[in-house]
Amino acid sequence: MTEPILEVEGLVKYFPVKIPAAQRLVVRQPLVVHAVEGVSFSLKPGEIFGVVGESGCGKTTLGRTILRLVEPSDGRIVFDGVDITHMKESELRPIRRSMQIIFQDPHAALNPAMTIGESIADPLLIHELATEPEAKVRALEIMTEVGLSPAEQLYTKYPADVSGGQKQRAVIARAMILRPKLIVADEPVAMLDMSIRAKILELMLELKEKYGLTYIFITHDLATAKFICDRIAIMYLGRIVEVGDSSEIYREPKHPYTQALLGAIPVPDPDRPRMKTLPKGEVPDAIRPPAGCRFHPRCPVSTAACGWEPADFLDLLDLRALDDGVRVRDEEALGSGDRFTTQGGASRIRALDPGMTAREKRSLLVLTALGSLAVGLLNALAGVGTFGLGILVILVFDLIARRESVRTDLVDRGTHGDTLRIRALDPGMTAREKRSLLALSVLGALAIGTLQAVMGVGTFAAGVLVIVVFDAIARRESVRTGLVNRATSRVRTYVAGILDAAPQPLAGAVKRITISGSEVLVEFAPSTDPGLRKVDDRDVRCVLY
Amino acid sequence: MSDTVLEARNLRVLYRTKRGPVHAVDGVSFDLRAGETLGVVGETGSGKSTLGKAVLGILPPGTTKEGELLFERKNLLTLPDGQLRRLRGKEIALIFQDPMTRLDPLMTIEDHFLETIRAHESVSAEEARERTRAALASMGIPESRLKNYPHEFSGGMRQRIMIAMGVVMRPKLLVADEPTTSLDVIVEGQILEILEDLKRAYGMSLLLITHNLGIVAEVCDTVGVMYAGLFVEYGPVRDVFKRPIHPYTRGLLASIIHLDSSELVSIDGLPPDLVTPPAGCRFHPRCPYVQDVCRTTAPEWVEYRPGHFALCHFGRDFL
Repeated sequence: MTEPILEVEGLVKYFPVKIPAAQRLVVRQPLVVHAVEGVSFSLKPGEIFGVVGESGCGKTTLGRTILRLVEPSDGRIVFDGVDITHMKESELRPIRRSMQIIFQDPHAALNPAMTIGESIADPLLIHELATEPEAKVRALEIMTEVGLSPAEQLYTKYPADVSGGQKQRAVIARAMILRPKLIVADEPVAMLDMSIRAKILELMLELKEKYGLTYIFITHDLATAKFICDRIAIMYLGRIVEVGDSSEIYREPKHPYTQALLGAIPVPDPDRPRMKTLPKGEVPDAIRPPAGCRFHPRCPVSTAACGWEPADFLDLLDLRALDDGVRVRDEEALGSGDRFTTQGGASRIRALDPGMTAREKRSLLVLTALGSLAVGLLNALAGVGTFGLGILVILVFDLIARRESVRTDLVDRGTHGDTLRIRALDPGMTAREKRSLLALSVLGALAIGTLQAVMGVGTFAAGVLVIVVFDAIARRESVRTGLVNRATSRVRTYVAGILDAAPQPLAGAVKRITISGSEVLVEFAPSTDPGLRKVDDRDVRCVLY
Repeated sequence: MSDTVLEARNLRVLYRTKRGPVHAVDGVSFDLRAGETLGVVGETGSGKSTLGKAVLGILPPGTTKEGELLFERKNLLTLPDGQLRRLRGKEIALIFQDPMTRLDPLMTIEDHFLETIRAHESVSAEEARERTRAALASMGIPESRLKNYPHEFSGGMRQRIMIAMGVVMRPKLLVADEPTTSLDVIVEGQILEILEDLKRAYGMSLLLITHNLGIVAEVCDTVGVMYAGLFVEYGPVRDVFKRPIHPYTRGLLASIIHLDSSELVSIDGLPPDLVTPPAGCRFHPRCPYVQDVCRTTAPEWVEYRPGHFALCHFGRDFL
């Protein structure tokens, strides 16, 4: 048994999500992207290990973390018997010669200001393994070896002057010049035209044979992986879902995700019937990855035990909202969709809204009644006051009217005096007219006063009545409870109806629907990741096995 | 034929570059019938995207166009700009490879649609909004996301939004330039299914430009194989894939790495520089069957089977 060249144990890489400072005060737990989560494998020397998955599955991050180009958050990386997980950069540098990377995009991987030859020779100078003339000789050797010939002529060319295939050969040559043991090849042919991909892969295989290289071959292309890899790990959202010998995996893919990936590859044969059952949706957000098995929301054969959670229920409501009629009915029954939230193992829907509790209602009623009493009392006081004032006006005006003598005296004096005074005096109405007018206005004031008084007393009485009646109703809790109960059962039936129409695994995973106050709580059975388990000749992460 | 939607006759597109004139498309002919899909397949620099741009009339200014490109009998190459603008987006729509760069990052999705719809039809804001909602719902994007900005969507969603925008005016012809290249296989499959459904539902024709022969085999009715600005082979998908004539087509089909591949095959050499294309047959420097005549004389466009054309001196030998 040969020693493994690389052992990776429980490797984890989280990337923190940048959020504004103000928001950070509110968010209790910092958000992280779960890029790689608990990946373990070991590589024998000379092996080609494929890491296959869709974009965002963490395959590139895995490759870079292994090379310590990004710092691991947790886990262990043992390269050639040395634990390099926490090694300092200065200690790591000599080891880096033995582990190199080939990037996906050869156009971006080469410095446009350096000639092809300089780029290839540069690693030797950086690691101080050769003088410049020596480095050039070595570069020319390796260039010929990777098919960059005539090497002398290409040495002085700039990346912009050569084809994509030649650039990728240069990237390979640059990685090879340090005679590495391990090469991480990150999508080395994805950017190249179909007709030259084969040439690059052949070159990689030749170099592997000649120098006993070990490759980690990162790709999204299952067909290429099948052709070149000895073992394959299928990754989904940061986790390996299936890993084993590539021939076995392709002969009989076990994980539903692997099956889906294999089935989705377009086959260049017009006669092959297009019978695909594609997984729904896309790879979910790695900041909030699905609970349980991460593939379950898209899985065509999922069961109730796969890890259904509140977020899935909300997704279901979103899906329903695509149909106009259903959306309107849902909103009538459950309220608008943006008020639904998830929390822990339950999704909350604020649907019922029966308003205040009985206690709150009662206090409010008493307060209202007291208010109206106060207003009534005030009114009554004002009324009685006006009435009293009216009577006072009668008495005073009558008294003035009776003193005829005063007026007569004035007129007399005017008659005998000078003309100007007479005009100024203008004795106006007779005493009788004046008296009737006074009496009329006084009676009016009296009438208003009386009315006010009656109204005031009435309001006061009504206030008292309101208190008594409302209190009686508030005491009859049963009335309100009945209303709430009826609404509750209506919502419960509605939610149950939604679940009936939902995919069976999702409906089956609902543990309980509780309605408390204004909230509908849909609780799910707690779930855990199924874990990688040995199935026949490989490891699979799926509850079906 | 009466139901031909798009017809190219000896189409040429000539770019002027600093290094000299480049015939990016150099005499291409095809017919695209209503409700059918024509695949244009080729490698980088073969001129397939230029062909798509010519159909849309969005070639850079100063480009010379020759031949005929008939959309419902109107020659798109000579049509005044105003008329072309009315066709574009309404009768002929386009979806691009990378939706992120084609959506305005400062506009909500709803605004994109309102702008498109109201550029072509004077409808009320209410009706435009209703159409937007329906178009997006048919692509599985809920109404609650109408006010979102492009960056808030995943790659697949963005491409679905692009498709929804392309077809919201119910075009007769959709030009799709590498519509799934930046997407993963599963999402790619979903997008292809959507395009198939749209074709069926509206009788729309599709001009699909791609480098992926697998996609061509799955969704196209006819295919043109493009090499150095020319169709080197053109015909029904089944004929071209099962009984290819041109050595380039054969090489391309053999070089696909698929699940049943048992060996790696590639085509030697590189595509020619179009400033100085090779004399005779443009494929001759890479052709394994090359003869003297290939180096000097350009081959003729010959119909070897009904509707199956190829550009090779020895086409008959490969039948």
